[in-house]
Parts: sequence; C-alpha cells; structure tokens
Amino acid sequence: MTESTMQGNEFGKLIESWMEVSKSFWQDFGAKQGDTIDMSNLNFDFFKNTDEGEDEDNYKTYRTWEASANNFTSFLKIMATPKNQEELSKGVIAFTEAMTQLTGETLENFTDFQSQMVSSFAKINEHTKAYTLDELNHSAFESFRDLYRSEFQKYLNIPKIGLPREFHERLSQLADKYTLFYSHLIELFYFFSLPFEKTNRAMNKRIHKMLEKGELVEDSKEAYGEWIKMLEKNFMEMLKSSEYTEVLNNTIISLAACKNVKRDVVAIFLKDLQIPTSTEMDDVYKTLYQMKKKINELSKQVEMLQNAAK
Amino acid sequence: MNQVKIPVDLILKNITEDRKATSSKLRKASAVLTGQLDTDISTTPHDIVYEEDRVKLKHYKPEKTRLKTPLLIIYALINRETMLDLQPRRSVVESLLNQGVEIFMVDWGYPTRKDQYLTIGDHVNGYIANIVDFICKDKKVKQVNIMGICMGGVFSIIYAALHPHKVKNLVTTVTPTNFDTDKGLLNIWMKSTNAQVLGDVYSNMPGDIMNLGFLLLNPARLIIDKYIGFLQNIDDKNFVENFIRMEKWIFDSPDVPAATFKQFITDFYKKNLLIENKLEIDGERVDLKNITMPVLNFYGKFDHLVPPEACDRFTSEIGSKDKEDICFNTGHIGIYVSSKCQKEFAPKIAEWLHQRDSQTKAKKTGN
Repeated sequence: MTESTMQGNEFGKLIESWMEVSKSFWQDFGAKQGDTIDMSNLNFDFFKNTDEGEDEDNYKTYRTWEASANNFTSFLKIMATPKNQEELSKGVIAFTEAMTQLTGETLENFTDFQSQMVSSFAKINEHTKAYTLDELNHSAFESFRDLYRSEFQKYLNIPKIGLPREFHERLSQLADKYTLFYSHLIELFYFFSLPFEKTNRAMNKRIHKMLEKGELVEDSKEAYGEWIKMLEKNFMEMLKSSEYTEVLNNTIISLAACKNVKRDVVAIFLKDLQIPTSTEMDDVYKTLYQMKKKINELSKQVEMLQNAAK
Repeated sequence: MNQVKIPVDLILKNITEDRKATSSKLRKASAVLTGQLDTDISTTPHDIVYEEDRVKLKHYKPEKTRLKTPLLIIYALINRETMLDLQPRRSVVESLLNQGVEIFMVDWGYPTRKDQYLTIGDHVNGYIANIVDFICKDKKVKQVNIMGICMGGVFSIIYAALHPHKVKNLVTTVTPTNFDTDKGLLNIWMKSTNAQVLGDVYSNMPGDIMNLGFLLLNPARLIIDKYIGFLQNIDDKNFVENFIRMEKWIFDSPDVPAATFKQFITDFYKKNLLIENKLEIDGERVDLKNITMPVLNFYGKFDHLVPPEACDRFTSEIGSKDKEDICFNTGHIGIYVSSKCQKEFAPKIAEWLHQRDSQTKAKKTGN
C-alpha cells in the first residue's frame, strides 16, 4: 500500500467516525423530538376555520407558503421515526464509505500524475547540458523538440469528444504547431546572434591588447569600420552555411503548417458570424480567373472569325 | 595576467570632444528633419495611356523624338518601377528622354488576393502582349524596343522568345537567366529551402516578407551600417533627401501573385529551365534560339542579388548575331542610381537603340 493510500484511508476513517457520531446524534435528537415536541403547536393552518373562497386572492402567497411548511413538518415527522432514521443513517454511511474510497484513489492518481510530470521535466537535464549558454547549439533546440514530442505532445493529441470536438481538435493542433514554430524561430534568432558574439569577442581581444600597451582607440569611426567589416564577414559565413539553410527551411515549413491550422480555426469563427472564409473567397477568385481567361480566349476566336469573314 | 592600464584622461578628453561635435550635429539635424524636405519620387511628367486590371501603362514623351520605335520598359514584380525615376538628375527615364527616346513603362500595381492565380504566362502572354499590341496600334509601328529589369528582364526574354516578330531590339539589365550558381545567397537559399510553400500559405507572397529576406542577405550593411551612415550625415540636407527617397522606394513592396512566385522558384531557381531551353509557358516551349533580334545585356559585378554568373551565359545561348554584354563595377541598384553609372548607362542604351533604329531605316531606304 502506498503512502498516499494510507493517508487517504486515515482521512476516510476520520470522516467515518465523524459520520457515526453525527448519525447517533441525529437519531437521539429525532427520537427525543418525537417525544417532547408538541407538533400541534407547529400549526400553520392559519386559515383552517375560514371559508376557502374568502380573500383567496389576497392571501394566495401566504397559503402557498403555509402548504409548503405543513408538508415539510409532516415529512420531518415521518423521518423522525426510528425505522426511517436507521435507514437514513445506513445510506449516509454507505455514501461516506464510497466518498472515502474515492478520495483515497483520487489522491493516489494525483500524486502519480505529479510524479510523471516531474520526471518529464527532469528529462530536460538528460537531453541537454543546458543552463550553460556555451553548450547551446542546434542539438539543444532539437532536444527540446524531441522532449516536447515525446512527453507533452501526446496530451494535445488526446481524442476530443462532444459537439465542439472538431473545434477543440483544431485548437490543440494550433497549440502544437505554434510550439514547434516558435522553437524553430527562436533557433533562427539564435543563429543571428552568433556573428555578433564572434565579432564582439574578437574586437574585445583587440581592444584589450591595445589597452595593455596603454593605447586608446583614437578614431572611433575607424574602430566602427573594422567592427562592421568583421561582422559582415561573419554574417556571410553563417548565412552560407548548411546549418543555417536547414534552420531557415524548418522555420519556413513550420510557419506554413502553423498558418494553415490558424486559417482553419479562424474559419470556424467566421462561419458563426456568417462571414465568408478566405478559402471560400479563394474559390470565388479562382472561378473568376478561369472565367476571365475563357472569355479572353473566346473574344480572340470571335475576332479571328470576324476578320476571316471580312 | 598583466594589469591593464586604462588611460582615463585620454578617454575623458575624447568624450568631451565627441560630445561637443555631437550636440552641434544634433542641432543641425533637427533643423534639417523638421524643415522642408524634397523627397518626392517619380516626378517626371507622364500619362496613363492603358489600364488592364491592376496594370497601368505610363507614357513619357520626349521633347524631341529621335527614335521611330518606342521603348517599352518592363520592371520586375518585386519593388516598383519608380526606381528608374528616383529624382531629377538621377533618373534613367529623364536621361533617356533627353536622348530622344519615347518611353512606355509598365506599372504592375499592387496585386490583391484575387490576383493570386496569375501565372508568368498571364503576365507575359496576357498583360505584356496586350500592352505591346496597344503601343503598336497607337504608334502605328509593327515592333517595339523592350528593356527588361531583373524579373522584368526574364519576362522580356520569354516574350521575345515567344513573339520575336514583335520585338525590334532587346535590352536586359541585371536579369538572371542562369540560376545554377552558388555565387549569390538568394540562389543558395532558394535551392535549399521550400520557400514556395509560402505562396500557398499567404495567397500572395507579401512584399514585406520578401523585403525582410533581401535585408537578411547582408544584415550588417543593410540593417546596421546603412542607418549608422544616415545618423552620421543626418545634418546634411541633400544626403537626408536622397536617403529618404531611397527608403521610400525600397520599402514600397507590392505582393507577388502566389502562382507566379511559386512558378519562379520552382521552374527557375530549382530547375533552371530557362537557360536549358526547357521552360514551358502556357504549354509553349521557350526557345532562346528564337531570340534573333539585337540584344544588349547589362549586369553588375558586385550585384549580390543577381551575380554576374547568373547573367553572363545568356548571350551565348540566344540566336542573335548582334549581341553585347556590359558589366558595370557596381551592385544591383547602383546601375540605375549611382551618379557614375548614370553618365554611361542611359546614353549607352539610347545610342545603341539609335544605331539599330537608323540601320533599319537605312535598310528600308536601300542605303
């Protein structure tokens, strides 16, 4: 038995004891009430001795309340009998036991889920030597994507049910595609930071050497010119590399996937508002384009035939 | 590790001097930026003589026409044709007009979503063909001279190959014809990525995204150094005006119809069909050997968008006997806007056209 189940059981026992005490209390109370309270004092038949038709409209509300109160006291009288008390308390105990079991199981499932999430997050450590920016490279970003696909994507792919299931599915797809797109985009931004990093490192070394000799950068324009030239060279190297083109391609493809799903989600809203979707308008434009082309062809043929006839 | 001796007094002295210079510059800059600036572009007078859908035809008439055959200028779908008329005394249009060349220029307009299905064939066999027919009818000529720029040059080549009887002389400038080269970043990227999927996603390829792509070809110079240069010269009114004009043009980017965009990347960048004579437009093969009219081909040695390797094979693949390559020591746009090239570029074109206009006249009169 796990610790959480034991804790759940203890909690259940507490509730059970409380319910036992409460049951015996109400049983005794009910029995005593039946003996001691003169129910005839609790009489709401205010209009018992009057004619029913008299002032019926004026006291309509009061009569309704009176009837409800009378019914309730009669119900209480019935429930106060020992036999019914016994049955009631048995039902309550059974309900309590069920609740206790449910609480115990829920606690156990929740802690299981928690430990699953913790182990998923802990796997980040296994995938990267992260938290040190020096180790950040393509494999770090790819590791994040692998982690996302293996540990978190499955929750978005849980089948949806009910009337709005299609809409929920699209939203899940949108969340999925956006996550992947942003991971590629951040990687692309990271690539653009590399030339700056390289250039600044080289310039800092140079300036440090100069300062060691007691020299100062006298012409800031010259220094800037040197820096920009170095930056341009580093950028060219980076932009021509196959790693960059791969990241660029992945970003473009994931952007396209993202936009397609976003269009589908927006289409659902537009449908509700009775506004034509972009796909519907594109169909209209295509038809117009084909019609125009056909008309142009036919006009040329007519012109040729007319010229031939002349 | 050696102890670094930082010359603090020198640093402070430099800071003081720089501060004085900077505040003086800022005062002047404020006067320049808040004053009257002449930044209008495309100011040479013209008429709109033909319109079809989003496409317009501009007509520039010289004071004195020296050539019988008018010149049709076909610009690219990327950016706008206003670059050829950026400012007075730095305008290719103005320069050609001064040489007596009558000009018609295609304004491709701003494509909208309904234009997404327009292919290269629609542009060439549709708009360009109709425009050429219009000019021939209006000017009572059987042929026109065509000058194509960049992608417009590609359209011009395709038109000339499919309708050679309509083209008297062909001028191509910074026109990519051979895409099988790794000299330009654009070539590398287009071959290695699936950029054409963006055409499906966006319906038309957004001009802003293309602009971003062009800026990323050289971020150090185009995103950082350019604006540092602007700040350094911000107190110079002339510089600021020229800079703003260029900014106005460079970021005025219409979208490119999706079908054309996808076709261009697939058939040209990826398959290189044009130079191999395997390109098909509207079911008809584009055979470069059909280009038999005189051809003048310009390109830039330091063009990072269309490197010389993408342009210099063209004249060896065509059927013309009268052909010439001219390489300027400049970049993609420098051919049109640099003051040095301004003195050579348009006069060379005008003279070349004039010689071939006279030759035709001479042949007709039997001289």
